[in-house]
Amino acid sequence: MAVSEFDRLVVTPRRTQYVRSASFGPPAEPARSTAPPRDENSAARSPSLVLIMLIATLGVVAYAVFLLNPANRGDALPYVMVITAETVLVTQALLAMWTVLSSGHDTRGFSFHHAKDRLFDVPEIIRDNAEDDPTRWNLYLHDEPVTVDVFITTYGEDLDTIARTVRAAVAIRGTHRTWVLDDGRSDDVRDLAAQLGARYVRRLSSNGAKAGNVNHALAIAKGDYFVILDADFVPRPEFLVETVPFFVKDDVAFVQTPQTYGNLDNLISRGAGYMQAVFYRFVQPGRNRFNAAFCVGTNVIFRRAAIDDIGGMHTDSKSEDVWTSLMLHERGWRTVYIPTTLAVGDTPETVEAYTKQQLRWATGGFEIMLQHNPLSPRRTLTLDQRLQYTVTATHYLAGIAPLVLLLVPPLQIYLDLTPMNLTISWGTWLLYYAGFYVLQIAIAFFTLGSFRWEVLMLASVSFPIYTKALWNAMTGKEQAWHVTGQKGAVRSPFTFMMPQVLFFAFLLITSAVGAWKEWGDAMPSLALAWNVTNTFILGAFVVTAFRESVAAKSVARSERGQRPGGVRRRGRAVAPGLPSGASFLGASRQARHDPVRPPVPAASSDRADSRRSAGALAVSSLPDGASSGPVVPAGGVA
Amino acid sequence: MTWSNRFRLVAGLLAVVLVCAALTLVMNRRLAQATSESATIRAESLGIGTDYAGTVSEALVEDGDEVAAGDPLFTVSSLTLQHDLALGLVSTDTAAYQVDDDGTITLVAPYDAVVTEVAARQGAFVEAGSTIATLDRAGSLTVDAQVELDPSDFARVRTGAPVRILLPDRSELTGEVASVSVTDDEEENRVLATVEVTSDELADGANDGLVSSGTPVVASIDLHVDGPLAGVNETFGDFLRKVGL
Repeated sequence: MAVSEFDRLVVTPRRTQYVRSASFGPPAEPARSTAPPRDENSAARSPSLVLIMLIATLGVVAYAVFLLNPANRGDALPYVMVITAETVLVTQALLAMWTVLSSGHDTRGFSFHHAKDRLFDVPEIIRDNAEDDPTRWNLYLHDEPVTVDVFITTYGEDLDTIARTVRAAVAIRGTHRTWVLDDGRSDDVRDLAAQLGARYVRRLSSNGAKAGNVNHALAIAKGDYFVILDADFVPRPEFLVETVPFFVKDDVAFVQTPQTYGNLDNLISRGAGYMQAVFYRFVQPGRNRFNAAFCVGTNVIFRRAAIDDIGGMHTDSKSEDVWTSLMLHERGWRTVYIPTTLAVGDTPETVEAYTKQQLRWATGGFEIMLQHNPLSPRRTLTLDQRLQYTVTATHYLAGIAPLVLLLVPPLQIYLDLTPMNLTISWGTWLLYYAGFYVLQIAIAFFTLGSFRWEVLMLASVSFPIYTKALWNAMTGKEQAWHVTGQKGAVRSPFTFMMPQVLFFAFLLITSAVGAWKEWGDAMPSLALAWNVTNTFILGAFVVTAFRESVAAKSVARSERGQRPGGVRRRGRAVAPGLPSGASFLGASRQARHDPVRPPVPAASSDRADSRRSAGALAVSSLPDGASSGPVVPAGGVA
Repeated sequence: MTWSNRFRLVAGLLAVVLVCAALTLVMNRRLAQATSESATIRAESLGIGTDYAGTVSEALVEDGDEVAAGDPLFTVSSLTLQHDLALGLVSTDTAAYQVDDDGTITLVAPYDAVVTEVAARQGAFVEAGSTIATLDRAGSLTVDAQVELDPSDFARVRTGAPVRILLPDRSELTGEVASVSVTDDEEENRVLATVEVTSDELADGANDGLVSSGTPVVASIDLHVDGPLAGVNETFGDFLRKVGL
């Protein structure tokens, strides 16, 4: 007979209430039939990690000494380029290693476990006859019932994707209300929400993209806590059980959980996904120790009072999540990150989605660097937080470093300008270089269990995105893509990676010229070897994009054949389940491209003015049933 | 992909090709040249001395004096010479010296020159065979350039190949390769070519006195090109000249 969730709740001992001293002799309980639950972050707590980090630090120092040794200095221009780029890389690597070393800390203390034990009221569940329906179990903190809202932000995603998420959100254990916040204004989504028992909110403006959407929903939903989920992140049933007990401490503003990806099946998504893996499994837990873990926009539960304290989600940035976290930290709130997977979603799997995601994140980081220097004495942050936010703000500079490094071999091939002294042999160079880079790869091996060359490839070809982000952050410009206005048309990935294509062409020609120049030499020069390697890396990216383009075209062709008249997809033929980044840029783009909006009825705009969020809104299925917006779907059907 | 994007891409690719072409031309030009590691202007120099030990009775010139052919430089009186004269062992006059019967020898300039390195003053004793002064022959300035060359490039330095000589004041003279010889650099384990460059423009004292013996210069020697792109560079150079660049 299967054990129901309720049985488990009743049977599980309340460990924090009856503290027994350990007895001698064999354990009274029979030996466990199953293996003990795996430590979610065992690598972070491993003493071997310290050893590897120490060795890697020595490697970094040796590499730095090698580069800075005046005897090894070459021509001024490439030397300065190399030193600048490597300084950024080495500094970021050292700081990241420091953060990773701090990631072994377990955030769950006695208060958490105690609160978790007392989260549900068993007699009440029995009284309500809700033993078989964990979604009706009330959540208690400090023995007081708490109310939780679950927001699912959507913007034109696939209906299937949204349905999957809504269904899972409704099924989360613990009483909660599920809201679909639809910025895509789709009647299909409205019907879907009604069908699955979620409330549906639609607003008529797109102000503030996702943050605006959430702020707007906060004006309607009045729960003590709210969860934000992107449309493609499917929460697990224990989401609230694992996160809500943290709020037993009154200073916790939010509990962030990692983004785990279920779609690591092509090169871009693997690269992007694994790139994130280090961040979610080691960097964020490390930052947690600094009380500087930041929100990543989804899979997060906020204390409403905290968000009210800073006047709502930050809406002035493309990276509203990081900014919101920064504001909370400045107000003295504590934040919690747990490396437990509580929702599984999609990572970008197209060049377009990846580019937009990275551009959004990098712009957010640079915005902090340029507009809100965390080191300034005006900020009310702790030293720990200052350091960590500085790392965040400058993190994407390391993404620009490859641009500088890619230009060094051509400088040597065309102009004979060498960054390093020519008398240095391959072997010497390789030794020091390995000291830095190979050991970094060793760290990846140890922490993630594998090393993905896709990560290295994506990291080294993304420099145009980060350069653009820096430029956008400096000029306050919004990125405009030259894309087709035609909805549903296939967008070539090449639209988003022209700099990479041009760079590839440049490196390819340079490699050919270099090979011709050194024809007959016994040993190819280091510059040529590097240049050829770089050509291959960029080439791999171009080939990936080419394959993606071909696949997208064939998909579009077959769809056109199957469903004449087309399917409403908001110009997103290739990527089902785009991550948030794409939808924000999409939101702002759409706001520009759709100038014509139906005039808003006076009744609803009057209501809107009295609410916090700007712009008109249309609400359906309010708890008080008072909606008078233009769109009145039936929703909230439990 | 929209047409405007295609256009951008093609334009970008064209730009890349142009940049690469320009850089390749620069590279070619550099490859077709060997630039000296060190180069100095040298003059044909001649040590003035005597076969007879004696006393400098008269020093007629000083460092830096310009002398014409036949000008007397030093007078040395020597007892040995007196003795040899008495025995009739010495012929009296040559282009290099005149001998008087009283046992003095007058050293004269064999050609127009500049006096450098005067080693003896009036009254000094000079030994037989020692050099009293050095003369740099006028109009004999050449450039000695030390060039590091790949073994295959040795054959590409041809006598008569044009050489650009860069003076310390960044002004440029042109010359041509007169001869090539090889020196071993034992310390750094490599082979250097010493190229002698002659030029009509190397007039002593020109360019505010910069053109003189001992001035360090940079010499760029055009190497003989017979590769596939040999013609391209010249054609491009001709083109630039034609349009007036």
